[in-house]
Amino acid sequence: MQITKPASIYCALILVSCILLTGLYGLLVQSRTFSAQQWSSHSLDLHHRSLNGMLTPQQQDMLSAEALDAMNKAVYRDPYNPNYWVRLVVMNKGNEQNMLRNSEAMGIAKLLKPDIILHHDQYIVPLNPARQKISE
Amino acid sequence: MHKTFYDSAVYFYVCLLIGSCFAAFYPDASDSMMAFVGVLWSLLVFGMLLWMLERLHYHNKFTYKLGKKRLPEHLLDKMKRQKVYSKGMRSLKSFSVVNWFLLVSLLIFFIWGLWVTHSPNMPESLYALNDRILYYFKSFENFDRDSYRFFSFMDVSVRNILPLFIVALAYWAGQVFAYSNRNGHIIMWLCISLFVISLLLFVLYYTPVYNTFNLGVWGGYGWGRIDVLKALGVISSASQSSLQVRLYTLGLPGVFFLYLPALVVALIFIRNMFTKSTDRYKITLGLVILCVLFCIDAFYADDTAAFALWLSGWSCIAFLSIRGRTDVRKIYRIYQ
Repeated sequence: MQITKPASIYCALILVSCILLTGLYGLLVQSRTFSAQQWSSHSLDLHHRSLNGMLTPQQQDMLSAEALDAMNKAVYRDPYNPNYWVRLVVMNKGNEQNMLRNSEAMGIAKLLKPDIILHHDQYIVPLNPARQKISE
Repeated sequence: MHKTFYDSAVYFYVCLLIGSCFAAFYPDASDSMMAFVGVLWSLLVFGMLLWMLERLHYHNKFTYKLGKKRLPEHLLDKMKRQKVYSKGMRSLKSFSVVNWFLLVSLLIFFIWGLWVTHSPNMPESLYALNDRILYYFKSFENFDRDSYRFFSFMDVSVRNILPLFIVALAYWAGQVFAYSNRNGHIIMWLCISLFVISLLLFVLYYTPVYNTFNLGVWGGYGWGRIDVLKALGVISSASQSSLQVRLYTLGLPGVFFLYLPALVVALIFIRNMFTKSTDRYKITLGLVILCVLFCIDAFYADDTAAFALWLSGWSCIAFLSIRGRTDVRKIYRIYQ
């Protein structure tokens, strides 16, 4: 049972090309999970920098807002990761304006990880040096 | 040193097989690494297919003129060309109907997986969680609720389907060498050794999982949702075997489509048992490897290291499942 027509080879070539493209996609395009990891680590770095006492309160607020924004992007990309939600809550703790969003984020984190305990040190560990290049 | 692509491809195949198996045991084996392995396998098979295409049209090159060549030189040249041509023709046996059937069943599994992931059997608690997440995102600017996906379909497809297609490529490449290479049995024993080493490493470093199989899953929850379903308590948070994870993700039809190629190959081994063209030890080894792969799937936790067993195991099966050589070999001798 042998098919010696070149059509079968051409079909196989198309299939292998598809697998090759899939492999290249996996290699070159960041997965959403990986992208979320990058945003999360960037957010932690910004948060860490915002705690620097040498900065003015305005600079600290600006860095905190940037850190929160980056963490929101991480959560957007990987919404089923409870750690990101907890980090969001911890970063947003002193913000009175976002109380409602904070309680919502905590509720989601509790759903994803029922035995969660808010240890600040456990979730907010900055990476050093800060990552500068983040791809969308 | 090597005169054709084929000669180099044998070495590349062996190195890639060994490298891929050991890479799977690497503790931080990531999706990117799997994608890299997939690209290498695709490039090898792509090259082999081009080589076969060239062999297929090789007969047209026979119509050359004698020119200034003397008769012995002409005969030697013709013998060499005939050898290369017949090698290419033998490798075309890998395009058998059975192999096409195995490929089609793999594609059906892929389509089923995508369909189940797109229209999953969603439990109420996951609906509620998704609603809460959407409620949180609603306050964001430019948030489009309708187009938002909780995970990327392409990501989960690459993660779940690419390793299977790598195994399929390795199986097909193995069959090409098994049909066309006179020293195919050496590669076969190398594959068997690799399988034994992988199995030993797997059994030494991984502990079995004892679970009762929940076979009543028809639709499945789709790829990419197992961890969240464990967190929500829909399924047990204890570590699950690969078979159970597949039952949860793709349901009984998904498991059937995935195991269909193994079932067909087992039937081929049984058929070969009643013919005289295949050695008995090959049939026994092939059936044992299939049983071991099933046991690993059913009683060990889902892990990337199992990929090494699948890859080496199916490479062995590629060599073991073919019938013995029955073709008549032409031998040219020059008497001086």
